[in-house]
Amino acid sequence: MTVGLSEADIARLVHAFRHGGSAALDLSFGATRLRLGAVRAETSVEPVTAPMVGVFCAEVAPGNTVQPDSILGRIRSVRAETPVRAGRAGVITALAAADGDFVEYNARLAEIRIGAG
Amino acid sequence: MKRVFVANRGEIALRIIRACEAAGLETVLGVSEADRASLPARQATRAVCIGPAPSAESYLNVDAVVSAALGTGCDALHPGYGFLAENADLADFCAQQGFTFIGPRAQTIRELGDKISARRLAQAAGVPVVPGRDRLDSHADALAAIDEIGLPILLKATAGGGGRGMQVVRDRDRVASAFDTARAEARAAFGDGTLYAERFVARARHVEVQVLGDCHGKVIHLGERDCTLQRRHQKIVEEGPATHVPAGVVARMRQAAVDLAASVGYQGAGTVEFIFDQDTGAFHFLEVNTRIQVEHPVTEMLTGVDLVGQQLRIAAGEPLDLNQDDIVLTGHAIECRINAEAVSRGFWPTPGEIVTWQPPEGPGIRVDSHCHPGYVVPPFYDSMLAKLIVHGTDRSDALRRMTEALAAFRQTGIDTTLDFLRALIERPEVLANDVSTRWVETVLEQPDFAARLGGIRG
Repeated sequence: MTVGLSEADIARLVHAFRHGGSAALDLSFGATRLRLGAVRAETSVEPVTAPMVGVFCAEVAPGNTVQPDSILGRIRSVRAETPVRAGRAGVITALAAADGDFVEYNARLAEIRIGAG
Repeated sequence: MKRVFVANRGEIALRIIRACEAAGLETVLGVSEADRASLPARQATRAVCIGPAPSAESYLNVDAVVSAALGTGCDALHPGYGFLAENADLADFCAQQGFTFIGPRAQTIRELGDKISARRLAQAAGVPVVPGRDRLDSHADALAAIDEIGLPILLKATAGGGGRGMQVVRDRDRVASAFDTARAEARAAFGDGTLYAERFVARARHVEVQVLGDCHGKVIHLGERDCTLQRRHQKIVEEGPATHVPAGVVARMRQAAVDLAASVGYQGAGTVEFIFDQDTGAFHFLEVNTRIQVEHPVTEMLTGVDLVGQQLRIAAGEPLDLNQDDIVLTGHAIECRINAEAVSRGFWPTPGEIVTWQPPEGPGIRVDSHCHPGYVVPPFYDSMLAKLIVHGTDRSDALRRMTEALAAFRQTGIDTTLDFLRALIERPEVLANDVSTRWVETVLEQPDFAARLGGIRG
């Protein structure tokens, strides 16, 4: 039988790494090599921007989980309502525009933390 | 009127913003993503992005423009020229939303924008229109057109433009073959072989009259501009007054422009364009431009009237504070359009970064431009960089000043039409004013002219 880390050992190490504040861990133990790296928090947050100039009508709130085709809200222009789609899966961390705000084209409306669903 | 939405870009956006500043009005400029950092965006009270760089999604998007104007609390909209300037739907839409469109009423834009209805209105107002026959279905119709109009005639495609489906007939015997060729070309190009005929003017001058009308029924003219120097129907050099058209003809043109504008209750600034036939001495109505025009500074230099300022006053419902007697054309003014184009490559657009930008300065010189050192000319829009306007005591004095001003204009970084204009303005035909609307195209083919510019293709 090969000497290595058990699944329980790995789970404990991952837990310790997550809460220990280290940026990277590279550990070899017998036949097992474990490499862990911290994902930088800011790179996993992506903005969703306005597809049209007009009034933003929010339909989600921070904390909501979204899929790529989820609708975060709508931009109401004089002649149309343009849906704002999430474009990626994740969790809404913040709304950059309030419901009812006038927003420019490409203005930041919300932030989504990727893969955190 | 407190806050004006400026629905344009480039030099005219800057011109409108400055006129609003002078009138104590705030401005909001709608910009595309490509123009966020432009000089007019910095000059306006506020700039808002209305869409991506391509104009169909920004400057031409009526919904985006009106939504941005409403969202920023504007109570008026100035469309400038080009883009949505002659869009009657925008004028209607502004009225529905309860704010002021700075231009004529939607109905005026609509009825003068349609060629057939404009021609009918001109005739009804007693303005001479080009002799013609509306619908030619056969060789017999074409011969009847010659009998009515007199030779030479021009056969044109009703659906057409750009010279296709167009044939000049100078001789009765050639009418059948010209008719067949024009109809075949029209069918191939536009899917519609319908032809009409009008008198062919071989040596035409383009003369246009500036008018102003207020919402109390008063209409005046501000003299005329001669825009005969064109290339493929694009104006290159404009001047005023029209010294090479007999005074009696100019007086009739001015009156015709006022009569036509008054007949439709014209409100705002407009231009009535005419063709002057140098061989017969006759003139006829061409079209009405229901907007401020590129070449409006020529009239401003001649009359001292701020035309954009007048547009703002008229839109606010104020009566014209000018009478016809107040309008005096002093001296002579000339404008050259400086474009980002490579003349040697068939006037191909040359977007890119301007490194040096030193326009001439001095008495009698005006430069309307949004350019500056380090400005990157985007590839998405019209290629005009600047308008250089000079004023002199008479035409030869103005030409001399233009020659000096063009010589002093320093620009490096991209190819422009500056050298072309320098060569053009010194031509003996220009000095003698012996030109027609097709002359620039012929001079471009002359080897000595092309050689001066290092060769011309296209």
